[in-house]
Amino acid sequence: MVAVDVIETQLGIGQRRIPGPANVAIGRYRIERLIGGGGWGLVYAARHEILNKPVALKVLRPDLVADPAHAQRFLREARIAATLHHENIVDITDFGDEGSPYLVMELLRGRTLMSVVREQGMLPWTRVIGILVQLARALACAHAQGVVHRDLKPGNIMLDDSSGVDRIKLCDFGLSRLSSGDDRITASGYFVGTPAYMAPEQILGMVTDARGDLYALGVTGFELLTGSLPYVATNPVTLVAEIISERRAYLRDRIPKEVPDALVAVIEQCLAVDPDKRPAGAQQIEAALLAIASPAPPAFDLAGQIIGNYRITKVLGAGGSGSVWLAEHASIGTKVAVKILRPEIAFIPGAAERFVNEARAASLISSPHIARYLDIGRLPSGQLYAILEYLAGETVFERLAHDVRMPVHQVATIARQVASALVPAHAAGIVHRDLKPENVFLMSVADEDVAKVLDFGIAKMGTGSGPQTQLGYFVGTVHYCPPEQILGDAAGPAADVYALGATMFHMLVGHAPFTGDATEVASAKTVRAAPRVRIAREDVPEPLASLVDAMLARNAADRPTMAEVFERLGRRESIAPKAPVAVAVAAPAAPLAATPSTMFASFEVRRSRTGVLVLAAAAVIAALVLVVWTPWQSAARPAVAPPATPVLPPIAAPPTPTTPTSPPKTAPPAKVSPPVAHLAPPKPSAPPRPIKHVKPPPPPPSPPPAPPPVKPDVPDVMIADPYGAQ
Amino acid sequence: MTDPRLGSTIRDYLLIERLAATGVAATYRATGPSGDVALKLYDGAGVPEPDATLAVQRELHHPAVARLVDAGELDDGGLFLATEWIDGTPLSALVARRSSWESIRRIVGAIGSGLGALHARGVVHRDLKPSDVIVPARHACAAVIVDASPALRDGVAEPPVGIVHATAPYAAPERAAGRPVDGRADLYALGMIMFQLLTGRFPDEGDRDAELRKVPPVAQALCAWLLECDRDARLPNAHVLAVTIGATASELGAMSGATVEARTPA
Repeated sequence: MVAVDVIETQLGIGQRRIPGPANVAIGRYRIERLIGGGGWGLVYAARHEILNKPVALKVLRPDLVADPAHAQRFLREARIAATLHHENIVDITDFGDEGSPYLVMELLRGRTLMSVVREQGMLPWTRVIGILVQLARALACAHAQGVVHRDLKPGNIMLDDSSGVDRIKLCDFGLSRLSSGDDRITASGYFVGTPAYMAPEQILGMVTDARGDLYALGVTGFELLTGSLPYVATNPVTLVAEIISERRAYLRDRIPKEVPDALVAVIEQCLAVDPDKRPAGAQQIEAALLAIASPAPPAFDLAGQIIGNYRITKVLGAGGSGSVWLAEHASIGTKVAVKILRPEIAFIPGAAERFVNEARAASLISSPHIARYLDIGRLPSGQLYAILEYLAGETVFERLAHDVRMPVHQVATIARQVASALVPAHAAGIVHRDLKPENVFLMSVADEDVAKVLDFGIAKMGTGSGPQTQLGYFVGTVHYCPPEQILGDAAGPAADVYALGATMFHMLVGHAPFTGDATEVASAKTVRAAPRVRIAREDVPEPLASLVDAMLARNAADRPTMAEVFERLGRRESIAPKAPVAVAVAAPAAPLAATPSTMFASFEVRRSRTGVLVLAAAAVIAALVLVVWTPWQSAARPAVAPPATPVLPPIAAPPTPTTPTSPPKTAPPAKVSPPVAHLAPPKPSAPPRPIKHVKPPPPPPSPPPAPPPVKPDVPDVMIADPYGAQ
Repeated sequence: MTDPRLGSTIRDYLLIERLAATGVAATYRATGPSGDVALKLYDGAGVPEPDATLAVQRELHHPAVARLVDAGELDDGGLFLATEWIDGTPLSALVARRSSWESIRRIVGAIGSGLGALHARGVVHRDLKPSDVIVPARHACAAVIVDASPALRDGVAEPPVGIVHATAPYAAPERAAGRPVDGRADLYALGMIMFQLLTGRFPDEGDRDAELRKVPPVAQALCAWLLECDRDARLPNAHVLAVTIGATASELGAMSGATVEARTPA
C-alpha cells in the first residue's frame, strides 16, 4: 500500500483524529481509509466506484458541518483550487455535497514536508533549492491567477521523492483567497493561520497580499535548511512578538556554512518585515534560486577516467549546473568536450529532461553551425553527461569586446551561418528564443570565422509546464529579443529573426539597437521602432542595411523569414564586394589554436551582463569538417547581379554536417573546385570547395528537401543551458 | 439602602435591580419592551455627550460586546444607555478566585476580540475594568464587554478636567502623561485584568515579575507584553492578540506549524 499522508496539518488541542468510515460511499466515491486530518477536513483515500480510480477525498469534519462558514470555506477552496493547474499544485477534480461538502483531489504519493523535516531535520541545500524552485513556481501560478494561498507551510506541501527526484505539490487552498476579491468571508468569521509561517503584516491584521506567501516561502526554506524556524522564541507569545518585531536574529549564523550565501540572501529577503523589501514576486525567487551557482570548481577530479571511448584529460570549466572536461578518444585521439551535470541538479525539476531535450533538439537540427552532440548517458554515479564536439574560439560577445565594429563581410558571413542553422530549426518547429552575441560562438578556422549557435532552444525561465506567456514569464534577453517577447506574446520564428537582426546590428554598429538598462530597453522597444542601421554606420551596403532594418521590424509579420534572411545574405550585393563569405569550411579536425578556456572564462562575464535570465552556457568544441561556401571570391567584382537571381544553394538544404570519416556530400551547388588558398590546409580527403562564381550559380538541381516530416516532440523545449554548466 | 428609583419606570424600562454606581452614573437591571437590559443612568450633567460613538456601538454586532439597544436623554438632561442584558457573572466577582489558565485564556481572548471590534471602528474604551465584563453563563463568547460607555473616538483628547474616566490601576501609563490614548491603552487595561485573573491581585510595586513567575510561561509572556509601560513595546493591536491567543491554544502547534483559529475583531 502506498504510504500516503495527505495535506496534513498537525491537529491542535481539542482536535482529534476521527476514525474513518471505511467502505462507506460518498457520492460516487468509496472510502477506503483515513489518511490525514487537518484543521477542518478529514482526508480519505477513496476510489471512484465506476472508474476504479484512486483519489483523495476531503470532507468537512463532522463536528463543523453545522457551521455554514466552514462549508463556505470548503467550497471556496474547491473553486479556487480548481482554477489552478500546475504540476506543483494539487489537482482538484470534483466537488460535491452529500449532507456535508467534500472535494476530490488527486491521490498523492509521499509525505508532507513537515513530516520530512521532523524525521530528517535539515535537508541538504541542493535539495532545498529544488523544492523551493517548485514552490516558487506553484506560487507564481497561483498569484498570476490572483490567488493568495495565505497558509503556506511545510504541512501543506507534499513531497514525493520516490523517483529519486523531489516533486512537490502545494495543497490546501482552504485559506486562500482571490487577492482581488472580496474579503468578507474572513473578516466576518474566524481568523485562521499558522503563526510561525505568517508574515508580520498578516499578524498585525493589515492587508495581506501575495507577498505574505513569499514570506512563508522564506520561513519554509529556512526550516528545510536548518530543521528549525527562523525565530529564537521559545513560546508562542514571544514567537508572535518576534515575528512582528523589526529585529531578526542573524539568520546566516544558524544556517550551515556550506549553504551558499546567495541562497541565504534569498531566504533573508523573503523574511523581510517590510513587504516592499521582499522579492517582487515568486518568479524572481525562482530565477534567483536557479541562478545560484556553485562557487567552487568541481569537487571531484575526473581526469584519467574513461567515459565511453573517451579518456578525460582535463577540466575546461565549471559552472553552476555542471562541469566541462576535455577528453580524447582512447584510440584515435579525437578531442571532445564532456559536459557533466552536477548530481544535485537532478533535483531541480526538469533539469535532467532539459539536458536530454537540448541534446535531442540540437541533434534534430542538422547543421554544422550548431554544436553537435555525439553521445549522452549516465556515469556509474548516476550523473548525466553529454559528449559534444570540442570548440575553441570565442563568442561574438567576446569578439565585440575588442573589436567594436566588425567588418561588414564578417557580419554577413557570421549571420548567414547562423541563419543556416536556424532555417532547419524553424522547419523542425524549434525556436531558439535567446539569440544574442553571447550565444554565437566563433571558431577560427584558417583565419575564417565559423559560427556555432549555442544554447539552442533556450527557454530559461519557463515554469516547466504550461504556457509561459500566460504566466507572464519573460524568456529571452531584453536587448536582443523582439518587442512581442517582452510583451509576453508567443515567441515564434520571427523572434529569432529579430534577435539575429539585433545581433547583426550590434556587430555592425557596436551596440544593440536599443541601449540602456533592461527596463529602459524593454519600454523603448515596445513603443519605438529600432534605429536604422545606416544612420549609425554609413558604410553598410544598402541591401544589408535594409535587410537588418526589415529584420528589426516591430511587427513580427513584417519581418522576413529566416529562409529569406539566409537567401538575402547570400546575395552578393548584400555585402562589401571584396568579402568572401564563408558559410562552412571543410577542415578535417582542424588544429585548435584558440584557447579553449576563453569560452569558459566567459561564464562570469556573461552572467553579470545579462542577469538572471541568462544562465550562461558554455560550449566546447572540436573543429569538424566544414564546408566552405564562397560564392564571391572575386573581390573586385561590383555587386551588380540582379537581386532576383538566386545565388545560393537551396535554403532548405543548408550545408550538412560532416565528419572526418564521412566527408561532406553536400555541397554548394556550383561545380567548382579549386581550393581556396587561405582556408584550412587542404587535405586529400577534403571535399571540394567551391569558391568562385563568374555567373550566378544555377538553381539547385532538385527541389529542396522537405522539412523534417515529424515535428519533434520537443518543439518548445525548456532547455536550460545546453551546455549548461550554469 | 434602597434606591428610590427601583421599581419605577424610566423611558419604558422598569428598574428591577441596582447593579453599580459611580460618581456620575448608576446602573440597573431593567425590563423593557425588548426584554431585559442593563440601564445606565447618568446624572444631570449629561456625561458623556451623545455622539457618534453611540451610533457605532448601536451598529456593532459582535458577540463579545453587548449591544446598545437604546440611548437618549432623560428629563433632567442626563443620558441613559440601555444595553443588551447578558446573564452571567461579572468578571469583578471572578478576579479573586483563581481560574484555570485555559479559562483565563479564553476570557482574555474574548475581551480582546471585543476591544478589537471597537478599535476597528475608531473607538477606544478608555476605562476597561473587570466590572465592565460579564462572563456569561451561556453565550458564544467567554466574556462580554457590557459597558463601553466611556468610549470615545480614538485619539480624541481627554474630556474636561473633573471628569475621571479611567479607573486607577487599569489606566495605562500614557494616560498619566495626559497623552491622547489609542487602542493600546485598552490592551494595557486588559493586561491588568489578566494579571488579576492569574494572580488574584493587583501587581504591587516591584513584585510584578515575581508574581508572574508562578504562572505558565505563555501566560506570563502574554501578560507582561500587555503590561508594557512603553506602549510602543506593548502588544500592538487586538489582531495580534487574536493571533497570539490562537497560538497559545496549541503551544506545540504554534511553534511547529499547526493552524490556529482565533476570533478576530469584526
